[in-house]
Amino acid sequence: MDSPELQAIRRVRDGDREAFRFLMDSHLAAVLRVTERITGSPVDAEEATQEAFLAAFHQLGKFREDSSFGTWVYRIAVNRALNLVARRQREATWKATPVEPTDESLLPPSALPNPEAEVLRRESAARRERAMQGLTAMERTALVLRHLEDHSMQEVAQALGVSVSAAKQAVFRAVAKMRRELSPPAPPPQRTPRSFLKEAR
Amino acid sequence: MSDFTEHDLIAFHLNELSLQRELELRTALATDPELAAESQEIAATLGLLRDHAPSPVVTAAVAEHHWQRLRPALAPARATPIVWWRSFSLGTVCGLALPCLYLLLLHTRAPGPTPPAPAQHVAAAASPDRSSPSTQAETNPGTVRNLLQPAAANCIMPAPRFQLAENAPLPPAAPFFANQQAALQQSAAQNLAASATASPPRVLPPAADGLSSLPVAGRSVEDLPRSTNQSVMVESAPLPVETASVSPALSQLPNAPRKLSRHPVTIVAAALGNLTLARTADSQTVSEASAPGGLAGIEVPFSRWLGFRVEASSHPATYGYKDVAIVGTSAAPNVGQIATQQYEFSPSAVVRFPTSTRVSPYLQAGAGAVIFVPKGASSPWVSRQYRAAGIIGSGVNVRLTRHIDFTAGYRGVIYRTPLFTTEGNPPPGTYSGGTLVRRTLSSQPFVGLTYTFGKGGSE
Repeated sequence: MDSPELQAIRRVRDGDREAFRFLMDSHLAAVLRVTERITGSPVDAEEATQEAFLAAFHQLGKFREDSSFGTWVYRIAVNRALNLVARRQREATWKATPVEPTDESLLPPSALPNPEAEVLRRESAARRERAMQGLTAMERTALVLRHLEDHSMQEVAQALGVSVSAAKQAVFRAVAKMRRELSPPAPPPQRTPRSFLKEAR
Repeated sequence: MSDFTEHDLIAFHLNELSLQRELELRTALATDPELAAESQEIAATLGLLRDHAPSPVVTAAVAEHHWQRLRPALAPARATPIVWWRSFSLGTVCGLALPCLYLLLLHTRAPGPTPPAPAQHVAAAASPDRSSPSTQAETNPGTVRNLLQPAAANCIMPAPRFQLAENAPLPPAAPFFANQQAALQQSAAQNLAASATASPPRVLPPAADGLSSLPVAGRSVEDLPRSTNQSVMVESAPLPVETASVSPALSQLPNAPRKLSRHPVTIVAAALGNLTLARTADSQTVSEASAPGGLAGIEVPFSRWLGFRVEASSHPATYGYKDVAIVGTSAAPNVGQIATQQYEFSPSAVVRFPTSTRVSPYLQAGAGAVIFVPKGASSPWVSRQYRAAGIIGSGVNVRLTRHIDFTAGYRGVIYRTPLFTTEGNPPPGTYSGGTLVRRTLSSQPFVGLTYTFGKGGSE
């Protein structure tokens, strides 16, 4: 007996595009999560997710039934998000704002109950996001896949199309950069009268 | 003082250290407070990242929103796109086959009627055809007669020969040369008058160098009427005749019958080895693994010395990058590799120095393009690369049979080192940024065979 996912894939191949809704619903959460973690923007994440599912639909003829559709579309989404981040970094002045006013109800809701916690969460998230912006798209993606998505280095390397050692190097560089960005600033040196006079001279 | 780096600590917290190394690090952490503090800082950073990572919750409304945006774009699946290498191969084959076919047809076109042998010329001179337009010359016995034999357009003419009548007056020596110009003018005038009465005027092409002073039987060759076919003979007498070869300049007359090309088209197929030395610049070392490959080409000669050659080659190329400024560890090696298939397409000029009929060395220089296609990679970090390339080379052809030559030589392909990345985002383990190693010289010795079309080896 074929799985419902496989049956949906065959129906889509036979021309029933409504069957693709089942495939999208099954993997939307994972795809949306990884794209938002890589891009750092809900708007970019939505764009990358749309591109990923669209590419999966058009390339469904090449999909091998012995592999997992979820893994496949996830990898497409990672590549789309990577491309998007690289594009954004080249367009230094770009700011992700939707063309149409964003319906807040369509954005993922916060899990935190009170406003203070939400403010703190947003501040931390903004700080983290600023630090993440200092990474190259490659480092950022490698860090997300290895540390946040808990993929093995082999899987990270495969998703990025590089060697395992190169993927490791990217992750380690990313963590080192994040550590420097997120560590509290060093306290200013004690100013003694002697040092004050020295500076004055 | 421990020998653990920051990368070792990160690898420790990500569970990427080997068991042995992890045990050593745990021991060091217990004895080195500075290292332990650094380790705690890294753990805090990783914890902060995980705690504040976005985790969107997909509600039914969000899913519906995505579906409504996606649905209009879900057109029926497109036909499978043409695989790039198939189109590349097809284009290359067509690009080589079409000019090859054209030149093959051009050089193997059937020649005209077989030209008469030298002996036939003699026979023709002994029994001249009265109906031929040479009757004008027969009116002046003892002078040169021009046998204007219609010849095929595409025949190889033997060297023209003169038949000297035994009783023909020999050209005067000094007096003739002293009064050559006057004699020539007089003869030309007589000839013109005779031609006007006996035969329609003929076209006289410009005389070749050295002909104006060539006396034949009392008259210069310049006096002779000429046409497109130059076969000049002294009138045959009933007495035994003797023959003499004419000046080689005569065979070089303009509008001489066209000869078959002595420089036919050749195609070459060879095996090559790609050898590239590692090069270092600004702490970055780039190396390329040696690999065998294939070479195909076509050469169209313009002359015995010059030709035009188009070549296509392909070989696997694995690029290795090493940042020597970074101390590599087992957890974080400072090397990276990208495996590619390299394609090259290059037109070039060829200068040949044929030393004998069997051996023909040559030099070549040209420009082309190199394409690097990463193997098994779908990431934008290892995208396909295109580079302009300069080609220099030398080689030698040694004839084995009429059509087959053995060829061996060297090609040097110079191009800008591929980066395999988008600008500003170097792949890890490859570059720390920028284009550091500028150029690559790919040395490619090759051996193979060439096939010569048409009258190969008829020189």
